[in-house]
Amino acid sequence: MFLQLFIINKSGSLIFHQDLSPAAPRLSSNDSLRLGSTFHSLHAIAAQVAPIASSGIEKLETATYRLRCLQTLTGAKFVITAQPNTPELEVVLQGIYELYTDYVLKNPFYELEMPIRCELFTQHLEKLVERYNAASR
Amino acid sequence: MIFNFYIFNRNGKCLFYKEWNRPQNTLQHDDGEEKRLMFGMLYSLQELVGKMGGGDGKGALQSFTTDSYTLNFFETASGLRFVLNTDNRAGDLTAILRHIYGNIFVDLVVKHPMFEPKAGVPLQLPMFEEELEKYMKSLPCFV
Repeated sequence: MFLQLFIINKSGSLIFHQDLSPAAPRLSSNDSLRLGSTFHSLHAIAAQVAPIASSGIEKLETATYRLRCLQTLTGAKFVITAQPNTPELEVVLQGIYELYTDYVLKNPFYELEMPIRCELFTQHLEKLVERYNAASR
Repeated sequence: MIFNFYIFNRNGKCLFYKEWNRPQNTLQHDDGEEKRLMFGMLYSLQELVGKMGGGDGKGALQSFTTDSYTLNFFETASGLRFVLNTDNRAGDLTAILRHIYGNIFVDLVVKHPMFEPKAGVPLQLPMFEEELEKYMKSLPCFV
């Protein structure tokens, strides 16, 4: 089951955050903004302390959930968290990226790097996640 | 392939560092800075992991992976942090870090009469190093 989605722009501000299931822990909007920026910096530091030439964090495993991060060529980061046994995180992230290009970037009223408030994007995101959540139940 | 290994105490002092393969070190000129940055990253990452998962999330972080390496993490109840960097084919190393702590570190460091847990000085214990070296080289993921 998927828990949360964060979208972070190339300068490290959180531009979108959504709980993807009722099981997601409650975060205040201050906390989610802070988590978004912290992840952005840790992503960069992980490449700096690396013992070998490396990109930033792509996967993270913890005892209670797992996290996947997709960094696009333009520098935006899509970060999704899910319960430990959830499959196909990468596929869903790719799907979300496609929704973002279709319903956010092509929205004439959307300004780049600004917080995302696009009805169509949220609707399709919910549909996509619901489909995967239902399949993994 | 195993790259390197750190042990930090609860105050963030690096007690032990060993590298077997390290093609890149962006902070080569300043060893202390590199350790501090590593500890700082882990500290914030633990905070982030706890916050994102709701609750305090103590001891929850296990590993993270980039496109070229995996950092395996283990924190003991006393706040010691063990960090092992490997390539992405090594698999789950939680059990190995536990073994290093429970069977090697406790036996040869904690039980050593000269070991002062609170001093935060780098370990100078040849027996521990030898044993660790032997164990690491016996692992199938070493090369």
